[in-house]
Amino acid sequence: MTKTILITRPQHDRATKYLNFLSGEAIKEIEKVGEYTIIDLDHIKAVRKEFEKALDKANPRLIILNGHGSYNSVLGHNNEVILDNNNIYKLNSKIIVAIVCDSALQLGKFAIENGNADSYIGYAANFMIITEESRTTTPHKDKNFKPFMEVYVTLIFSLVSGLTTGESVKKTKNHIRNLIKDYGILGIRDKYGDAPLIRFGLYWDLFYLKVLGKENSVI
Amino acid sequence: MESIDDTIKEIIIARLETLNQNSKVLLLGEKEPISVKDMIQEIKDNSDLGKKIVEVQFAYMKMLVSGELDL
Repeated sequence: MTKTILITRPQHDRATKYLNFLSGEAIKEIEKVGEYTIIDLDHIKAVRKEFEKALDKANPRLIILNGHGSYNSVLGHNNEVILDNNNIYKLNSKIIVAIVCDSALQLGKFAIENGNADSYIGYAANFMIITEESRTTTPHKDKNFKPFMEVYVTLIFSLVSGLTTGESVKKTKNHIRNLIKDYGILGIRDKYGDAPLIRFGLYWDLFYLKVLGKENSVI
Repeated sequence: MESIDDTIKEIIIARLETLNQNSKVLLLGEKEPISVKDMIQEIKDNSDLGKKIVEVQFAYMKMLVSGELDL
């Protein structure tokens, strides 16, 4: 039986536009694996009604949440609350990946303890990216952004490749270490002199990436 | 959070001052990016973000010194 992955990716401001693009790249990687049905709540579809409908009807094993939020909520299109205390129970037995501000420590505990999610992967502080100011409307051309895209895609690809949640986080952290080395040694990618800042951003993401709940969960 | 004294903060600020002050950092979840200059001000203000920046920079420096990355 084909497993289902549910993704929410609003894009109504600069941060969510970058997240939307990151998720789109991850979707391409999932499609390459070819073993999953993807429910893509893109842009205006990232609303509570559609989110709950997908959870109820498709019973996704993996849920990837992108956007703004708080310690006990996740927001969708135009900051509509799509997940909170009233529907957190729908995360029962799911694996959650959340790129939501300060999510791992608080929202993660909420999902595990109140929602009975199996595992929760997120960041204990905001996911940091470095951007080129001239590329804010064209993230696919943004060279500073590229290593951070690799981090996001590595995490998702690891999960859909069958690694456990713990192994996926470990592999992603190793990839970040390699990227930091690349930006330390290979100045060739440092067109604007931003390599030290990119290394700092990558280390920030390495430092704050966490997995909560079961570390042996697989999709 | 590990206690970090003012000398370490000054070293971290000095490191950040060597970077392009106008380069932008986007913290996903926040609406607008911040510049390196803003990051330095957050440290000086001892804000929550400033404390996080110091904590991560300090951990990063320790990792560099340890030779873990062999840059």
